[in-house]
Amino acid sequence: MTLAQKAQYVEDDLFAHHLQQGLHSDRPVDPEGKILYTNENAGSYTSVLLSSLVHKWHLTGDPAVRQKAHAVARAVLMLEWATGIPGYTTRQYKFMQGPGHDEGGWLEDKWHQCRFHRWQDNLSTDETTWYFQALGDYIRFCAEGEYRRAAAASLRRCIGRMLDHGMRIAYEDGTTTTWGDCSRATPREPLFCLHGLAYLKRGELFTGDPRFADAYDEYVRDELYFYEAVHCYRLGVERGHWAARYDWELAAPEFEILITFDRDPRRRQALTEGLLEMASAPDTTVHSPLCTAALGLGGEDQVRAYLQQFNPEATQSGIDKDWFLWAYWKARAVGVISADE
Amino acid sequence: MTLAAKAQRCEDEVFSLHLQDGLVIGHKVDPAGEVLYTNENCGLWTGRLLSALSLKWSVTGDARARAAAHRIARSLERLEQVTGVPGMTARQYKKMQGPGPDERPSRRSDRWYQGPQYRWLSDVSTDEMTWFLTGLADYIGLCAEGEYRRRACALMRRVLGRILDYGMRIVEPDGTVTMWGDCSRATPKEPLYCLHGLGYLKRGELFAGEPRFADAYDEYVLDEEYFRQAVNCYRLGTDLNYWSRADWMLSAPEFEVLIKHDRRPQRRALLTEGLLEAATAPQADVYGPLCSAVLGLGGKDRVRDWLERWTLADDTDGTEKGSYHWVYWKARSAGIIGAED
Repeated sequence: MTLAQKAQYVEDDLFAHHLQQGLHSDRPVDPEGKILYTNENAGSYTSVLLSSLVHKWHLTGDPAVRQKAHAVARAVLMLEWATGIPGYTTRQYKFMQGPGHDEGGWLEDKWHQCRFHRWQDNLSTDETTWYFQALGDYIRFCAEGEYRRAAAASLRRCIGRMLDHGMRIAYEDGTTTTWGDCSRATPREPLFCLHGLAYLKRGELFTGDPRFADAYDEYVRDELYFYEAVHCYRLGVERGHWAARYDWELAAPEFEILITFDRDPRRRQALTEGLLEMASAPDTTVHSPLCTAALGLGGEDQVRAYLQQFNPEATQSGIDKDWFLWAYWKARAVGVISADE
Repeated sequence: MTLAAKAQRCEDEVFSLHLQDGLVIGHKVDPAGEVLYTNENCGLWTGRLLSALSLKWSVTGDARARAAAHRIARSLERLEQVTGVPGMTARQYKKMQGPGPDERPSRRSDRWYQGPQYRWLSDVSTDEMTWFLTGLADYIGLCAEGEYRRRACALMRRVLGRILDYGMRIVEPDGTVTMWGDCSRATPKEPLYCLHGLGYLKRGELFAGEPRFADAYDEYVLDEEYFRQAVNCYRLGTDLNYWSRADWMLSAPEFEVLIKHDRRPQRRALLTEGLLEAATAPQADVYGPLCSAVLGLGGKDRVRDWLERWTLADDTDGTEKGSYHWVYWKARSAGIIGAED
């Protein structure tokens, strides 16, 4: 099977078996549409799917792909609309009156009912990073007219609400969620400083609201905040904060957008060093080398090896399939692989 | 002399010999600061200098380059301030009561206005506007932060906003259209002006921080006839005998911003065809192949050859020095040449 065939196989499989009311599910969903599973990161992985489709559209120009991207974007935007709180997104939503039988686990007390939907609270940067990343890609490469306006407005509200709370993801009552503090004063981890900068940069680039550019200029000049952002990997490992399973996928898009768009070459250089520090880790996932490859800093061989080794027919996890699809189209978009492979 | 040394000498001489009250002119200025010359395109040359300095800053991180860029950006601001009409720019200003001795009878000698301190020349054309906006966009995207960025964004917003308010026409204080200012959908002066209209709106979307430019871009680019004229501006312009020697310099930055940032692959492919049609013409100057080289479409050898063959003499016009300076830094920023060349 070629890489392109694998990607198509995975895309078809994701749409056929891993979308529960439009949101990504790791496990195969009920064919009748019955709600079977809770997935606290469903919003994040649905956003990854949106980013994949946007890259595919950008390369192929296939209107059917754009149509799919619009449909997935609607599900992603619903993450905000379902909460009934402007600028606040949920981890996942379900069209039902609840509680549902699936609502167990460590976030079981974080479910709310808003009119027709159940939605899950205690949003983290895991969720917002890919929400912002995917909508940024969608606005930049795919959405026009009303689609663009809706996506830009949601980004404006969500990043704006964080900024109103000093770059903290805040519950409705204004208190900070467990993994939501990207502030200058009390950032939860070094990685959260990187998130803070990248969120503001996306606000600047994709919302048309000048206050994000002003805030970015302010935050990036905070030397300690910037230092922690740059060295989030090393400092995170030293302090026992770095989550080796997840944090590469969260840090890589932030490094990429900052290295691409920061205006100061010295800062870009420092960020590049931070990225390479992270990418040189032996246990990194494909996200780091893909990021370095996208920026012309090497890593192509690791990306290619990952793509070639992936066996879609033997993979059960919807999350793994999701990442393969994204890595494939991202690698295509940055020229690491070609359509013929 | 290396390419870098030539570029530095051009820059030094532009600043020491060819800046008349902050605006670039072809002649050597009076060392005592007396205004001697009219140059109806000095807004264009000054915008190009701002672009070159922004590129230089982005590549080198040299604080002197950034300081010089800030200084030249103030000159562009003054092109608007002297008119006393928000969003309306002048071709040139001179700090004097007039008429001056340089205002000899010419096709624009009746277009001088007297302000409280400055005389200024109206009848702004797309020649001026294209490089005014390109310079500002590069400054905003690559160089300006904080107050500098806010001022530059606001300037772009006012200038482009006024053009859009008049249906993409550059207009005089009384609302009449300037001689070479009609980029409207209904009555564009030439096919190239359709390309300008789209290029201006795309810059507004990316750099002015106001969503209405994105909305207008989506509207204008969906006008099939307008888009067709934009894409084929070189061929149609040649057929209609409109295409002039300067038009490669004017069309290249528009093709670049549109091919980089339009959201539809089909449109980007058409724009690429249009660019290559213009850039590969035997009589094309360096701006065509430089644009195609920046976009990875070939032309590097022609750019390198031009940079190597170009010689600097005592009587070289200031605008030619400015041209070399810009081409050099554009080629450096795109990786076409290295610092050692």
